[in-house]
Amino acid sequence: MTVRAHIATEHLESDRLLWVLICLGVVLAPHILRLPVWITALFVVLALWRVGAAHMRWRMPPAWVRALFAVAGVAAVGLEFRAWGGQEAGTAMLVVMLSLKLTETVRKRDGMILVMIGYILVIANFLYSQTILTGLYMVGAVWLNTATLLHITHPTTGIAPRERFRQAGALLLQALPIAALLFVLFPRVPGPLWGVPAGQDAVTGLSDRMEPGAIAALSQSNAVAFRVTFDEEEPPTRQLYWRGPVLRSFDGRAWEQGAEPAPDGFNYEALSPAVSYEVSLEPHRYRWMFTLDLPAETPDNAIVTRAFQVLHERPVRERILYRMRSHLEYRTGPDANLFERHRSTQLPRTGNPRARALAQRLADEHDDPRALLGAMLMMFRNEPYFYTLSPPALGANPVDGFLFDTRRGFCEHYAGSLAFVARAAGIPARVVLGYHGGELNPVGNYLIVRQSDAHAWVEVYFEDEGWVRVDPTGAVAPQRIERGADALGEEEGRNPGVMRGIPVLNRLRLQWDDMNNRWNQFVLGYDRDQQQRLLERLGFENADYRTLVILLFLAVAAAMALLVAWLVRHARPSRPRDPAVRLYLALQRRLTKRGLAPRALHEGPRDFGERAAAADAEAADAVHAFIDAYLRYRYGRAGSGADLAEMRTAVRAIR
Amino acid sequence: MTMSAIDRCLNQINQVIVGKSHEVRLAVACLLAQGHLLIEDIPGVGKTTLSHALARTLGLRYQRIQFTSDMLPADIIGVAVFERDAGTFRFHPGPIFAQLILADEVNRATPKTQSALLEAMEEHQVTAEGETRPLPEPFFVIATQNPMRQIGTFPLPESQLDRFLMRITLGFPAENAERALLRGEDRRGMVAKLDAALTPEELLELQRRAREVHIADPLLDYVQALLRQSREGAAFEVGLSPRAGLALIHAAQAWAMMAGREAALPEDVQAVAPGVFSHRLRGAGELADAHGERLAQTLVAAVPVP
Repeated sequence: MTVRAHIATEHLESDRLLWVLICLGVVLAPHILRLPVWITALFVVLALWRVGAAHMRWRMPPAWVRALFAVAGVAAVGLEFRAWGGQEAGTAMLVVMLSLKLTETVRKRDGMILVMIGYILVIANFLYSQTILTGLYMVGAVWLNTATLLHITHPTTGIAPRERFRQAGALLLQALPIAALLFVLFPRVPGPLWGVPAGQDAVTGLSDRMEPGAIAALSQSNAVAFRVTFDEEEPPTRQLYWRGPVLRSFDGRAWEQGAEPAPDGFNYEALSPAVSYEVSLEPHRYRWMFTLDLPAETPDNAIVTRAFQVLHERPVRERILYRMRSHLEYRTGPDANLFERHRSTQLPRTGNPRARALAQRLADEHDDPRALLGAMLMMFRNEPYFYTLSPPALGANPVDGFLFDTRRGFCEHYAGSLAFVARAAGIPARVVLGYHGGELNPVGNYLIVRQSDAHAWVEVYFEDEGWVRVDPTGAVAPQRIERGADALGEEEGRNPGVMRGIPVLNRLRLQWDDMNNRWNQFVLGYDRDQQQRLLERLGFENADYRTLVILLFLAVAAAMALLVAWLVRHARPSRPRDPAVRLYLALQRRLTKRGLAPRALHEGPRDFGERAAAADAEAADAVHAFIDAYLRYRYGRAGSGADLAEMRTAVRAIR
Repeated sequence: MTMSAIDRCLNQINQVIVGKSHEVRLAVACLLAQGHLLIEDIPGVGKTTLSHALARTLGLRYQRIQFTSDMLPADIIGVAVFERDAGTFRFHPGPIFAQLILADEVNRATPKTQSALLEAMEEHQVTAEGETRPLPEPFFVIATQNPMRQIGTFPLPESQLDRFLMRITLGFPAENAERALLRGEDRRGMVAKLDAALTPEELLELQRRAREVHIADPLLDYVQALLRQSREGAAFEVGLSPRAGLALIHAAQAWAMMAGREAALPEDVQAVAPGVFSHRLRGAGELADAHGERLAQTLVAAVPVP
């Protein structure tokens, strides 16, 4: 019986069935939270029933019942998802069908099919999550699947677990070079490899609206906003202003973005050489891309507005990687855009009367806008204002409430009220949202910028100098600007996270982040551009899809050839070294050609000879002569060249 | 001389045990390989008859011990009795001081008594009254046991089963053999009339020659492949020990010698494998309840002959 026939007809014994179920359980586990409960329940119930059936020898349901189940399953998925295709409904459909397949899993072939579906579910899981941990888990699942496949297809005794995993591991390792080639060379469509729209789950991050308390709330989040690798040494923390949305319109409570002015090149005066860096930006569903003040170039697929805001062509829904240059010291010069200046003085007609009175008083005292702002900052510094992560709530006139009553606020309170007072005094001012600072990861030598680094500052317009950054937070909490957001947390007695307190754990944490960063950049972020760049480095300019496919084909063929060559050499010598065995094989070939059933693997030479002689009277003498010589040579005390010659003659005698 | 001697033995036993020439051959091979033999089968298929026929044919001084649950080690080994005339204790040797022991229903004795027998099998000596006494040479045990898990039986543990070179089963006779049995004369009577076909010297000579049968490297490869498969295959609870491999080789040597060959072949190994492996393998998974012989066949079928 050939192996294939064996698999098709042979009964799937309960031990092997159990392994198939374990496999499916492992593969399905990550899907469970996403699937409707009834589908998980269906699988569990049918799996238990199948185990019971194997032990109690229950009969499988008849075909019409199974057909009914299948129809009901398809209908139920349709009702649940209002669709039969797509990511979620498709996965659910696969799991339902897999569960129903259990009701007819009797033969080894059915077991094989189940394990194969298991492989597909592994891939499906990557549509939902692409983290390193998911990757590791799924490698484990593939390993288990492969080991189980080996076990259930083994023709006789099956394979003991250890040995099974060893063999499966060897198989996967052999597949690794080809998988790597496919990964590198497989033609990429624009967008990420796992081109699936991001889920509906909320993403923490800056919004395009600033209300008192908004950033303070964000400061609790440890989530990574983006990571930055500097080409040279990173600038000091006080210069790390990551520019985000520019907010111009104030409605009495919240600052909002308003229409962005059109791009107008980079006509500002750079006062320091540009720093170059690369940003790996986490998705945040808005178009802005964070750059150091002020950007000096336009990244691909983006524009830079006249207010130096860098905007991606579409909302950033997947992680993007971009290179940037910025001048950290600059002078924008007069802004030719009158509208931008004009609207940067607009305030609601009423509200916050005390702040307006303060602005009026300051304006009377100081002719020079710089002096006015200086007085304002002095006020923050000298009077009892507090910088705090947990500011009290504010009433109907939030600027008044903060400036005169609570006097406790986070950066948005200071920036918002400073901009308000400036505008009330007739100085154009706007609020800039973004991040400040970041944590340097010494492991990978890059900067991690988290949501807790979110910040807000003010830009005011001076007729001679143009837009100038004024950060009131620096006046009230200079350590925040010098050392970053962590310094503040420490001061407020807030636990910065258990892990940061212990050096070893802290190092582990940073190493883990570094690994994630590499994974993001080199595995998940490997897109068409990176592919092109890599190929260019290898000497393939402008590789189009055609070139890629040819390259891929050639590379995989070469890898296969190498693998086969290696196997031929090491794993099992295809040409036995013993000349007697070679002659024995030749004899078998000739006899098989004459119509003899091939030698079963466990058939000994003497048994084979007798069978052959009985079946083939014409060749009987030669077979006897051969086998006698063969046994003498191979198993006897003193085999000789004469025996070999005899074997050779005997083989030749059989035509 | 020797060839005809072996054939004489086989013919003589085959007249008593009809239609079981393969099993008889295995039993003789086991004894020629200097191993102890365990015959396991249901009552009434001729276990005891076979063992008696073997004993008489091989010309050995034999003792039969019927094991029961109330038996004590002293019942086998012997006991020291005070003799008033001499005023001393004198050791009265038990039935174990014989060349061939027929241990009937060995699994009915308590573990204590079993282990007295099994120690003797392993060491070829017994310890009684603080004194170690050697047993005669050659020394064989042919044990029979009932496979059923009856009340009052103590199954032999694996470690003790391992001391038997082979375990064979007889099974029901074929139709015509059974007919001959039913028609023929009383088997016990026939056994009693059997003459020794071998002298003890001839027997020792045969055993020596069996050990000299050539084992070629490819055959060792094959034996090792069998052992490896028993360890790597999922069908078996525990793999075979090196001692099992050694037993296989000795049995194959005896088998080859009985066929008149000076070198053992893979077929010799295959012929004795069910006998040598059947009590050493324990099935796992689907084969958990399978009989040892089936396990051995599964094992042999899974390993290619090199």
